[in-house]
Amino acid sequence: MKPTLGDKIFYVINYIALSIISLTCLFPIVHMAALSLSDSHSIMSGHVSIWPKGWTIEAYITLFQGTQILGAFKNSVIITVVGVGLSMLFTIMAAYPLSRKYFYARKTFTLLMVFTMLFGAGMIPSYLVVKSLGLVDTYFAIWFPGLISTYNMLVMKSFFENLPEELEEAARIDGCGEIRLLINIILPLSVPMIATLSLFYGVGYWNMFMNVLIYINETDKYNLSVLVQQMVQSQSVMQELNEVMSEDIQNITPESVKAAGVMVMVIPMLLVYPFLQKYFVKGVLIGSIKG
Amino acid sequence: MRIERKWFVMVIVLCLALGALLAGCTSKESSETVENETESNESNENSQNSEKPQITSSIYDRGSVPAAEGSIEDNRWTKWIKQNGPVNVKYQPIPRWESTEKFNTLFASGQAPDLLFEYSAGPKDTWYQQKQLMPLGEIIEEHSTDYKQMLEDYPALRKAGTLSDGKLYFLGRLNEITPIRAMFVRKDWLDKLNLEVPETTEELYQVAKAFTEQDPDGNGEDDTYGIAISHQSARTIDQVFQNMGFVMRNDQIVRAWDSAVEATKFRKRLYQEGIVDRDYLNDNNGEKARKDFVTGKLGIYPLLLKWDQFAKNELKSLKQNVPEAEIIPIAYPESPAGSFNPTYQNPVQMTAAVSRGAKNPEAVIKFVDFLVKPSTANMLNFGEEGVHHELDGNGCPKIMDGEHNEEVGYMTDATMLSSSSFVTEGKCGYETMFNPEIPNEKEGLELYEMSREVYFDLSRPYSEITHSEHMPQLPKELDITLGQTGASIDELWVKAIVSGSDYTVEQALKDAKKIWQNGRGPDAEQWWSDWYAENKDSAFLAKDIYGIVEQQQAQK
Repeated sequence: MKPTLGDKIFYVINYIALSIISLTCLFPIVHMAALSLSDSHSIMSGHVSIWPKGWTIEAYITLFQGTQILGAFKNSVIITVVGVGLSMLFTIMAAYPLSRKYFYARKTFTLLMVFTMLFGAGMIPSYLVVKSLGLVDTYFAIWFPGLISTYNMLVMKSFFENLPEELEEAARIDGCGEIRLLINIILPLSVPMIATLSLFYGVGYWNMFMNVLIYINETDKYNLSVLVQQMVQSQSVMQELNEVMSEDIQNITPESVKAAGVMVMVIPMLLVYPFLQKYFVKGVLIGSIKG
Repeated sequence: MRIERKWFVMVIVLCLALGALLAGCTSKESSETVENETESNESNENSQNSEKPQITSSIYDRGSVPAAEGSIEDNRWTKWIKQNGPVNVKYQPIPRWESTEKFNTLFASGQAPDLLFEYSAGPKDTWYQQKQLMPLGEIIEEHSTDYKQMLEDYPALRKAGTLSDGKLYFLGRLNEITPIRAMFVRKDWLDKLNLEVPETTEELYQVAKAFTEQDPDGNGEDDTYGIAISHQSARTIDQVFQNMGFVMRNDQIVRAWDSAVEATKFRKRLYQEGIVDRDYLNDNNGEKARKDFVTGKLGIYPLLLKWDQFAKNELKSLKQNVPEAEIIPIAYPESPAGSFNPTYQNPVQMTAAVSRGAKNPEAVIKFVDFLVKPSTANMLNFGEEGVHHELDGNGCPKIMDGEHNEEVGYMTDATMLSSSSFVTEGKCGYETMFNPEIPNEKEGLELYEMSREVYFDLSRPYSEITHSEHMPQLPKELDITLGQTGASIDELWVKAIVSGSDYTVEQALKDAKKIWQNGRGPDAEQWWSDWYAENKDSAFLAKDIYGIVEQQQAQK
């Protein structure tokens, strides 16, 4: 079918609108990158928009030598990698039995888990539980309380349910047990779902902020979010101090170093995304095997 | 059926196995920590610290400790404190910008440190309200030496640390007073247009108008703004008009409606005639105004500042962009409410308290004594003489450039109880923050000297009841409702500024008073007048600040 004139106009408008929208999304990141590579005079005079003025990598040198960012980066990687591994393991182990129709307690268990989506204990009780388990100041305090995201688990469960039963029956006839069925048949079919949920968990762990702040007291165990947040916050220090001003504000991180910190935090996730992107095409909720 | 049961048992076995595995991991983790602790205890014993009592203390963490130095709770200076202090301190880092949340969780779980450091009045007041603090009067009397002496030498310290139940709870320090707000005017523009320094708000308006319309930078374009009214500039202009909400008039605390009206009229005029940036409401952190100023597009810049930082940043950039620019600080012009002084640095700053749960309050007070000693602050701020700093002609420490440069400067938050050496020893005042060999800083120093002339005129009243850190805190529920009321009233003023003749200032005043009536405004007025009647002699008020200014001026 040939596109009509109306279609063509529609496409042109569509492309222009989408280009503008995507540029507005891109602009803040480009601007940050430009700030991180500019000198402070240009930044203060407002000369920097999307292209660095007064090129310098001073900000990155200061960042890596003058702050704890490398340690924080390492911590973020540990939290994310181990966290995603644990979360995926437990999400699959919860989702698989609950997706089996012949598992007789599935309704009860599903209900119990859905309950946690609606009702949470709140910060202080959670803290007390974590503390009495002796997890404060260990990363287990980060991993355990949110080990399974119920929502992700439900998505995974319905994905499993949508897999064709014939495959399963064929496997059983060939003498396949439950574990082997899961590992050799179901999981290979679920790669898009596993990749997608891993990214969800990954971004969550990478950006984890409040839990680290609350449960971790030792500063050398902080992750990037907490460190970068402290650097960015010192920008609004003037606002906070208001009439107070007795604090020594010499320690305020210059604009460019802050921008560099933000870049260090953003880039790894930007790098991971393209590799997982192809699985996104197969969709989170579209599910199942397409012809 | 058989399959189902087998499956169920298997899952449970698996779960148990994994649980055991993970439990194994955790217990290993905790046994490691125990090992670490014994290790550190051993090393302490090696440095003969084992007989010193153990206390805990909070310390702000700003993430600014250089990587090579360790962390804020474990670095060369904390080791130095352990070795030279009277007690064994375990520091509990508090993320600087989430201190309230962090302290709340620590209190809730009974893990609050013995010695609490916090700048903001809000959280400190909450601790007092929740009875988390220990009264310190007797302990200081019996066990303290240095801090006790300070309380005797500087009675203001006791006055500011005593709370409404008449007991001493807060510990603090003494600062050198400097003006921390100012109004800068482009002197070269004044000269060029043959204008005088504005002395009333009417003249201020005229000058700002001329700066906008008569092309003072001579580039033939209409690209200058007369004055900035966003963010901190707004606060500064409010002080000129004494538009500070509750103010002191004839020894009574009243709500200053007339000031609000005058300040709004002033802004409305500036806005309607295009003398200010029409977009000022979007400049919610003052960045745009600052940019206009350093690029030479702004004639009058009211702001909040630290003078040395201003010289090193804004002034330097301004000179780079517009080499012929010349600025002067001017006294607050006279408004219908009178002529006022800007905010001063808080001379008596309450920074610490002791948790009620502290097991060994004597040891805590011993540590406080150690922290208030000038030698301690010197070491933490400037390091060792000859290694980190050298003494200048006046005997004041100056950090040296070089390989040891990075080893100092990050422990300022450990010195929250150190008084300014200008106050306690009469030397090394604020002027030493400037390096006169650098032209920009020399000029910054001159500006600072000028500001002392114009802003320390004590015949003018202070625009506020007292320094904001010493303002009493309203009861919580009143504070919340009043906050909302105030926000709605502010919106009305803004509406009056930007809506031209459609919405007059008089109409805004009428609407604002209605909101005030319905929003517990009268309760607040009652509360303030009761508070003043009861506390006028014991509270730390503007007159106390002026007393200290006089003292410090005499010292110069």
